[in-house]
Amino acid sequence: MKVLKKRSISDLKSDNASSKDEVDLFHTKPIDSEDDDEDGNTSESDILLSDDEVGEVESEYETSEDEEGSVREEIDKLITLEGGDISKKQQLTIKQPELSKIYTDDADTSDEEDLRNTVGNIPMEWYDDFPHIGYDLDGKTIMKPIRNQDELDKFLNKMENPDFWKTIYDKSTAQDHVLTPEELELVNRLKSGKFYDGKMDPYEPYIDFFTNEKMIHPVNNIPEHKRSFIPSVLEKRKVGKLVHAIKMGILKPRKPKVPDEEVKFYDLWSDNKDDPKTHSELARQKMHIPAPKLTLPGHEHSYNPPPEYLPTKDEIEEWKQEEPEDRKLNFVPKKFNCLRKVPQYSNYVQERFSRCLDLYLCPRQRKMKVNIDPEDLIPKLPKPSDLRPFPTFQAICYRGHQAIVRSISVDHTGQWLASGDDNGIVRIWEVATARCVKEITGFIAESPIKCLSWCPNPSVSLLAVAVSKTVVMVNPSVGDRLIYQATDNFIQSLELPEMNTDKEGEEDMKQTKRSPVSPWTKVQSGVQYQDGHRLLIEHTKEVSKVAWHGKGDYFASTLPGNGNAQVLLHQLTKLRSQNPFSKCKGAVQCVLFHPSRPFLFVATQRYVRVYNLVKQELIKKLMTNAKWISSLAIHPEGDNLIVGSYDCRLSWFDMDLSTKPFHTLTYHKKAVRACCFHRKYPLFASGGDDGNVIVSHGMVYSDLMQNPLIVPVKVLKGHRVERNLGVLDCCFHPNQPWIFSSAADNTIRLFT
Amino acid sequence: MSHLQVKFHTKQQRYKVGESPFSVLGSVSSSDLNEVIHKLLEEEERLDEDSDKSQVEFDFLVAGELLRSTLLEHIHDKGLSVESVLLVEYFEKENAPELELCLDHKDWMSGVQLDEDFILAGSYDCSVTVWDRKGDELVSSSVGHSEPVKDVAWIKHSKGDEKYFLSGSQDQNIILWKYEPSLLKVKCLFRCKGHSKSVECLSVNRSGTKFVSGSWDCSIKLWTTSPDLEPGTKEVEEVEKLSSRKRQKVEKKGYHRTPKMTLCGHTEAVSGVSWLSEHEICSGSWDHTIRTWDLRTGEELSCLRGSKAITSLDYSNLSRMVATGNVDRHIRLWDPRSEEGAVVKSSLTSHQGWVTSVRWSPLSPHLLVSGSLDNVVKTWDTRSPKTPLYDLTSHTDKVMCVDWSQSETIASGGADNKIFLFSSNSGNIEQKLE
Repeated sequence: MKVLKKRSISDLKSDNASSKDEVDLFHTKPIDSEDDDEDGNTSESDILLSDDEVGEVESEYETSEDEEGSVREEIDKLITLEGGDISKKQQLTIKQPELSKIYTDDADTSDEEDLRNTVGNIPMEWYDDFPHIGYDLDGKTIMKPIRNQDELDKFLNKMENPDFWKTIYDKSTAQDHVLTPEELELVNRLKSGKFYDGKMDPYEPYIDFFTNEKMIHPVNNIPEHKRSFIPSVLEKRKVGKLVHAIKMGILKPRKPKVPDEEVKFYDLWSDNKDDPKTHSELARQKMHIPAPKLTLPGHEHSYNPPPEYLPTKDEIEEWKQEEPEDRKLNFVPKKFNCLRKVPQYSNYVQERFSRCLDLYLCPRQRKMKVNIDPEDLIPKLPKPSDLRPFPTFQAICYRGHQAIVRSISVDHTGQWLASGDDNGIVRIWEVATARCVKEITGFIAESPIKCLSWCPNPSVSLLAVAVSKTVVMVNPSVGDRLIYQATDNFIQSLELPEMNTDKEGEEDMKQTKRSPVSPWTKVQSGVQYQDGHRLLIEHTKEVSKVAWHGKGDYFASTLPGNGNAQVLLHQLTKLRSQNPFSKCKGAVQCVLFHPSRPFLFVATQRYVRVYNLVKQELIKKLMTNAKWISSLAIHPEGDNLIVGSYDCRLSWFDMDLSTKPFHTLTYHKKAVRACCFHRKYPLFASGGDDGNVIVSHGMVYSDLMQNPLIVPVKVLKGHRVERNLGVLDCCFHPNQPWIFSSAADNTIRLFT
Repeated sequence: MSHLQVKFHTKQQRYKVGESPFSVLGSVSSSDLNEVIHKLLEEEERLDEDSDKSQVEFDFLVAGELLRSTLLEHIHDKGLSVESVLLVEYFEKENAPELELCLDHKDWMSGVQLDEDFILAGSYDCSVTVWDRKGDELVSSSVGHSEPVKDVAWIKHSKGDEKYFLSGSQDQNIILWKYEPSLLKVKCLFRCKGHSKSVECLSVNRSGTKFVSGSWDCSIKLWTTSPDLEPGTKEVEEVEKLSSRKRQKVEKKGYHRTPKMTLCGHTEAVSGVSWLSEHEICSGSWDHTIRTWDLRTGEELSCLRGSKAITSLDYSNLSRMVATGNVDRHIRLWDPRSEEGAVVKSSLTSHQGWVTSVRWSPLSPHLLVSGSLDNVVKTWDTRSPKTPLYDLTSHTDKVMCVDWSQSETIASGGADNKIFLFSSNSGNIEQKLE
């Protein structure tokens, strides 16, 4: 109670009415009676310590149980990390009781022993070996208290003592110390990063020493010194000295910094050291390639190798027999008892020399590798298995021809196949059974049948056969009896144009300098009529190809090397022929009619020219990039064309796109002889001298923006190559995804 | 090697063994199982009663398919569990067909059909020939057709001694012939005209009153088989015109017959027709479809689309399935009445060339015979789709036609100008009849 009194006296000037939370520099608060009671029981030093802080501690005195652990931790930390610190504080706190003693003589301190250690802030371990721990104010030893708490005691203490969490061990006194609320407060403040002093207000209003407003009067009114008006003599002297120094050359400007020069190496091998090195020499120095390493010696090189490394007699013999280059080892391993007995290695000099030669003479080169994933080089195409149907295997072989089968043709129903061979024999086959139903002979002088083609008109049963200098119209008399009989009647009813055509022709020749056109003759009777020959068209030169127009009335024949009359157009119903061109450039290889428009494709050796027959003009000239065109085929819709050539190429032209090939397939190893389109399925094929027929998927989209999809799907093998000739002709079945091919091995094969 | 639990059962009473399950190795094949059955039968002393049975071989049916590989592989293929007890059905194995007869001819054989007593065959030399079952040529008629004969068929309504048969030819005609065995004569009764292209296939209904023909002109025509003049129909007596060069010598007399009905719908050659019932037929074509037709209304009932051209078609009343020979070397089995799900029930694969001809066995719902361009005739059990029962390799050239209309004999004709007759074993057939 006295303390309280004393405090109130000391704090007389402070006002009592400040709030709990507000912190004032000069504020202290009266202590509650509760506090009094407690504080009354505590040590005096504590009370005094709390002198400034009690008021604040009050709010936080009852530390929550949750905080307990953290506080304890914090305390431990403080002790461990700043071991001396707490003891200092302790000392601080401990100093005060003396003062209090002075003031409060009658304070009840009899039971409180004043344990003041006077050893100072020293490591307390120094006293470990002594029974005492230091000296008190009177110079008497402070004996270490007896602490023999075992773990169980500690645990019980922890469980039962409510103050355990705020009990710390004081090293300087070697006693347990229960932290007072003030000390706890301090710890908490430090922990939360606040000021040590709870009363410190970092945000109190700041009062300027000078006002921030501009005043009209100076702060001091002393007039300026004279020195501030006249130039400085000292400076003048100093400058004068520097100028003199520069003049005299004593003071020199600083040299510019020179970068450190590169380390130079002595070039041992250069002929002339002064010559600048060439680019390659520099590159060689830079891109140093280390010499290949010698293999490390193995067991066989040992002077005392294990017995399994020692060759037997036979092996030595064998070794001697071998060429020196083939030998695995260039010496024979031998065994010696001790290293001392090893003779000089006889090949030493030679081997060193060859190694030097290797290093010196062997050119070494850095290989530049380009990492390209081979997958990336392959264009993304659908799988062939997704593009079915297409022919995959050989189903039927049509045997019977005795010579090379140069040309084949399937009739529009797909029931009959016509083929012509080099002996001048035309055979008609039943497609499904490979039965040869007809053999048509009687062509001129057994000369080879160059080309044959069924008339595409379904109401006419006619086969155009090109032999030697003639084109023969043959009625094979197969299929619908009504049709082939009607065909005969139809031909009978045709009237040959009047004979004055010759005169007209001559006049024409005079007028337009056209070659005379081929005259038509009817076969009326005889063996040839029995064989089915119906009409003969004589030409002046060998006919190489015939091609029908889609409607089956017109057809064109090709006579390569016939001057300006290389292409002749014939009309069946009028039995007339004409030469559409006044001039022919190049040697015409083959001709083709557009399936729906009046266009004629004329392939010379290197170009395909497209003519409009109605307007009689050249529309396009397709650049094939081929050396020698062999065959032409047109897509049934007429906008795409494939061109096969003897230089192994098959070029696809999109007529709307360009006059250059849209795509070139070079899958054939030898010349491409024939190519064809399927009428219904998106398929095209080419046959070549390598004996293969390559079937490709060629989808043409009606969308003009989408390019045709070309995927090779199947290589059909089966034909033998004879006399360097392979597949000579191929054609698709009109309705099924099947392909026929004829070859130099005298057979025709059907792939389905 | 894993063990499997199997349980044997059979429908053939005389080979019955106990019901108890056995544990066998997974690597056993059908020959091993055969021994097991023989052992079991011996134990039960069933084989002693007649010695024939000891030579009997059995075939094993596991999960609806004949066992051709090892049991374990078979189970893996079928996706069955190896844990459960397998039910293995066994039955007497089909005996190998034996070559019975070889008939020579001048030209390719295009069609063959057997009767109880006679063999009828059409050839590419435009002739129709009848042999007796001993192999003696009875009669051959080369008059009548001017182009190769493509198919022949007996009409089974013989009155007394006379026999009637049909032949279809590339000359677009079908001729109804009368054969009198006593006189050894054939007579051309009617010339069925109507097709505009080669006639490819013929099929007579069961009662023998009507027949249908399929042709290259994409149509199917229905005709009557009546040997008499039909009152009220236009059947003109024909006096052959002497215009054509080949037919100048022959003056033929005969009557024309016109089709009762024409079924149009196929877009390509009709290659096979078969009767489903008295009023329904089905047809296969090169346009990859199988169509069924109602003959009362002449309407198309259904259309099954395949992916390959069909070369031959036959319907079996026993299995109610249509078998087709295809150009992709497979034989496919179809259910003509279902239109949902997978239309192809099964495909039999082993031929190396086009399957030119297929015929069902008249007695078993599982057996069929096929001929192919790879010169081989194969007999099949539909429960073993990968391996045929037997390969009959007598032909040296393309097989053009096969026939199994008589239950005990398989006949085949080919491009080697020969007809071969094979006897299929009759012993088994008795059990089938049981």
